[in-house]
Amino acid sequence: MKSTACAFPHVPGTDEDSLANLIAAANSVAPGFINCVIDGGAGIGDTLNPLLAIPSSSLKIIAYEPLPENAKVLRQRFAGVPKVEVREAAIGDRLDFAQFVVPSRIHGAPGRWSEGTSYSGYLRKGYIAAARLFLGNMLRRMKSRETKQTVQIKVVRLDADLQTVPDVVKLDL
Amino acid sequence: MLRQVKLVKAEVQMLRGDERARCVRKLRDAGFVIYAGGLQFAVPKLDPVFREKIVALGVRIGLVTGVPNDPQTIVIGDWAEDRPLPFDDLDLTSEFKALLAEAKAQYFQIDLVALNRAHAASWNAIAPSLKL
Repeated sequence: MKSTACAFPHVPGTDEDSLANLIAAANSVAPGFINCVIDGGAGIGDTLNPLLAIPSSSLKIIAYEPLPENAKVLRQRFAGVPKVEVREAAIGDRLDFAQFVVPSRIHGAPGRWSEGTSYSGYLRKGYIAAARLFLGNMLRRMKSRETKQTVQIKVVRLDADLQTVPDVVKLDL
Repeated sequence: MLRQVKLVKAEVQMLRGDERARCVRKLRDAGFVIYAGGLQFAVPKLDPVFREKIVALGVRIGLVTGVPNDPQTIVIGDWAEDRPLPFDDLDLTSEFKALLAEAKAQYFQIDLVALNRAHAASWNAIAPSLKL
């Protein structure tokens, strides 16, 4: 194999569970080290469950989800969970509205994705977050793959949208 | 605000988009050390020949799954720890990209984990192997 100069060292295992494990380990070694997590592009919230399993009474999760139908599912799913706050927006470098291109709706499958419908989408213009998202919803009535469509979404700046500084930010680029 | 954040995890597209370099530059300017973590990609078919080739280039295949009503095979994996990552600075190597193109990969996504050096003492206590 050709020898290359890589910009990053490798750290094994950084899926959602591993991120949650790292946060749990951090708070175990240094209690209160991680108190606020931003999930940028939360989909229907599958990424939130490992975070909610972290034994921390003070941990707050703010889930940003730009697609309205997914945000609706998120709000329903985590209603009554005080640790989770849902904000219907994408994270970007300015306050704006943007066209979010949804090239296809693809159905969930047993395993990685929740049963239901999910999206593969990207922002038409460049933003810090959400250039590609696997997002889902629970609209079981959708039985077949749909064609590309464009939806208008709200884009916010994190520093303007938050009243606190987050400890962890998760983004999809 | 970014300088006060302790950890950033970014799922980054490697086959399209122009946000990768800007993201890395902003994180480094803000004092973050960046690590490459897991990976995910989609191909029409994970045939044995392609599988053998991509494993030889350092990909460790974990979960392989399909999506009903979508012809893609989704592969979730990691990098083999005993091989150099197939990166040329911030990009995949041309050899790796050629293999993905040959397999008609729809996307190739990696996880970047960035830890703030301002909290190096804490991170080293939490995860000594990272040697921040």
